[in-house]
Amino acid sequence: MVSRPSRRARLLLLSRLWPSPGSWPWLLAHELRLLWRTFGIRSRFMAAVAVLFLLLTHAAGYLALESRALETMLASAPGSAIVTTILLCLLVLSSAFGLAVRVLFERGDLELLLSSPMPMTTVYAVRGIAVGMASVASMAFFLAPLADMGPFTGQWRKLGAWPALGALGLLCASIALAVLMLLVRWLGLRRARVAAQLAGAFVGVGFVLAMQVPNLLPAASQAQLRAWGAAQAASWWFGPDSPLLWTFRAFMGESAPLAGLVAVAIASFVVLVRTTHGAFLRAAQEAPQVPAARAGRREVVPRAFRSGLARVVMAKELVLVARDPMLIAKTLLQLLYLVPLLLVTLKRAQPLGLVAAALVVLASGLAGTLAWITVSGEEAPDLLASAPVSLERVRWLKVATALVPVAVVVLPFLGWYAHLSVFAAGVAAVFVAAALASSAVVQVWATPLGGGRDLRKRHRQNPFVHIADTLSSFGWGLACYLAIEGSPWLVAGVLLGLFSPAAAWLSARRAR
Amino acid sequence: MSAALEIRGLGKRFGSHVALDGLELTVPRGEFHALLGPNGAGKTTTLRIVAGLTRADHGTVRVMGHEVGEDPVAAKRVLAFLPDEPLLYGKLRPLEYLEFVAGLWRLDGRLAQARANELLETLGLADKRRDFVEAFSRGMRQKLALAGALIHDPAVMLLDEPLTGLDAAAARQVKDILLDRVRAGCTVVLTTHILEVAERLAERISIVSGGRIAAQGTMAELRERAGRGETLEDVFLALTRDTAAAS
Repeated sequence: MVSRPSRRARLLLLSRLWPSPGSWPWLLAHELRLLWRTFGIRSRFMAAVAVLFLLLTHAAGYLALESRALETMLASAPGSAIVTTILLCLLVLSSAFGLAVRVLFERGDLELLLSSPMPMTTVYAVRGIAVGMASVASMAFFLAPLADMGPFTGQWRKLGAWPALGALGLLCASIALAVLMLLVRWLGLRRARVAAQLAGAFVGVGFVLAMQVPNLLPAASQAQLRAWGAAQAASWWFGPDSPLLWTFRAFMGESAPLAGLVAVAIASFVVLVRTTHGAFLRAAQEAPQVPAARAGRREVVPRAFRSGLARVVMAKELVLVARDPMLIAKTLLQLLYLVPLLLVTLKRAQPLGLVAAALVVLASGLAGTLAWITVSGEEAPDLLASAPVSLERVRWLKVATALVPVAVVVLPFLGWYAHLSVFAAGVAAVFVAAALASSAVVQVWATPLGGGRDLRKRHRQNPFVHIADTLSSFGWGLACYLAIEGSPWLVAGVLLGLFSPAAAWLSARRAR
Repeated sequence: MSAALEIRGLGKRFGSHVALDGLELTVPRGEFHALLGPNGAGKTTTLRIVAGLTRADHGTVRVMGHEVGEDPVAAKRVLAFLPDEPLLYGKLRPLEYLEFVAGLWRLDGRLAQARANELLETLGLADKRRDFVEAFSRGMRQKLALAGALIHDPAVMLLDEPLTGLDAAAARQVKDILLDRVRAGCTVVLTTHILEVAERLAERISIVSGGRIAAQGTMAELRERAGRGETLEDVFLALTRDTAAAS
């Protein structure tokens, strides 16, 4: 009879397997633990939802593998497989850009690591690996079912998707960090930060935008483009044996493409770490001092102080928005993500209603973001709370200020629209106003003053209200479209639009 | 004439933790008063309730005769609160910040501008008026926050650890300004961990322990009450130990 190892022996074994403190695997384990905690699965309910989601996607993955969907796609529509792969790679690359910027500029523990006796090369390499893993984390949720269900359908090779995913993450992290280091060298730290974030966002949305360009071409050019595309589809480059499909094949677990992808990823990462760790160290040492050292040296023209609460609050909010290039960039990118939608709607047979609806959704989203920033991003909530003014009035003033830039963006569109149809422009103006009012009410009632200005955390502050706000945006857009079409169903859109003010009111009542 | 600050039976709980347990305090007009106490004694919570930043569970607070719970706007109009970590707007310049604060207290623009320039001169920040606040050191931020607190010429000033993190020169400057304010008739209530500051500046001292006032009086009265020790540190340790033992 074999005796089971004692609890102490098992703990000893576990402690020997655990990397020793100060080693690179230990630091990597630390990074992965932080990464895992960013998913925010803290309650049993959230864990249950995550498990249910994984079960459902694994069932779907099983069915997809049983029907040999990937092989069919590869054989019959290699062009689609190429486009899908490029799109996914660009999304991972986009994510890697954002994470690389955070590694250098936003992680408070970098100073702790820099002051520790750990070699900088190790810190840099581990950070790079963490960027790679984090950039494919979301994709893993959707890829896991296809990989995990492989053995259950007799397709063991599909497990190769896991190393392929890791390799893709590492490759994208290498590219993102290399570009960031080059930007730091060419533009300096402060500009490099904005440029890298913009580059990441454009990489993500650029491909989608590029796919829409043919829709904007004249009919004759579109026909020529289609003919060229058909000829290319028959060529070797877009056929089943195309090298452009190697990444796709690697994810399917084919040995040679998988080995190639892993080798390229590791080689590029090693080259990156060896060539740029010095630049990373210099940038990391300078990063905390950048805003302080470079900002505000411009000559100031003296001017008279303003009097009155409304004037000083609105002036202060506009000045702060105008001096935040990151906020402006992120806000404009929100608009950019809606451009494909606008382009698609422009080419439809009856574009007026759809364009108006897109405009309403766009204005609502922009107003929501800016109004949220002015309320939640308040840097001195204690100052406002200790002042002899009504906090509700200050909130309204802040939100009203946030709507000014939105009006500046939307009014020219409405003017152009009125040139096409006065009726449709009038309806659009009414629903834009309704959507803006809806966004304003949500921020006044349900957003905590000074709750933080990190847009990535906006949805966590009040998830119910945030989802309601998104649905309401689409509700007002839908109502606008249906109103222009003369459909009585516009009432349904209006009801959906009123969802977020109702949710905000309920949330405020509960908070009281 | 009412006292500058009257606190009666102030109570506050944070979950199961009792932060304030029926605290009573009266500060006459024009007095420099120091609140001393160990960490977690309830000093900051008291100041935040007086400033209208935290709601008390029970008790009343009057500032210059205005009840904070009933007429917070009137109470805040005569009050200035300086938190221990003043949060300023990084992307504003000093004069823009002071213009905003003056607007909150509804000061006339011309008057506010004159005072703002004077305060920047007095606090040695005049040559920094072109810089954004984010470029300021901790001491400079503290001084700018103090300028914000002074711009509306408050009758009562509440300062939470105003000297923490300041260098000797800046600390001296702040102390001189506060003494000047008191000489001009302003009431100053400050919390501090630096016993020497309380000993030298304050006319009366309240020792807070366990959410109550454990002892109150002038330095001589406190020494007498403690019955031992020469320095405020001895008195402070004796009184807080006695309170802790009693509770």
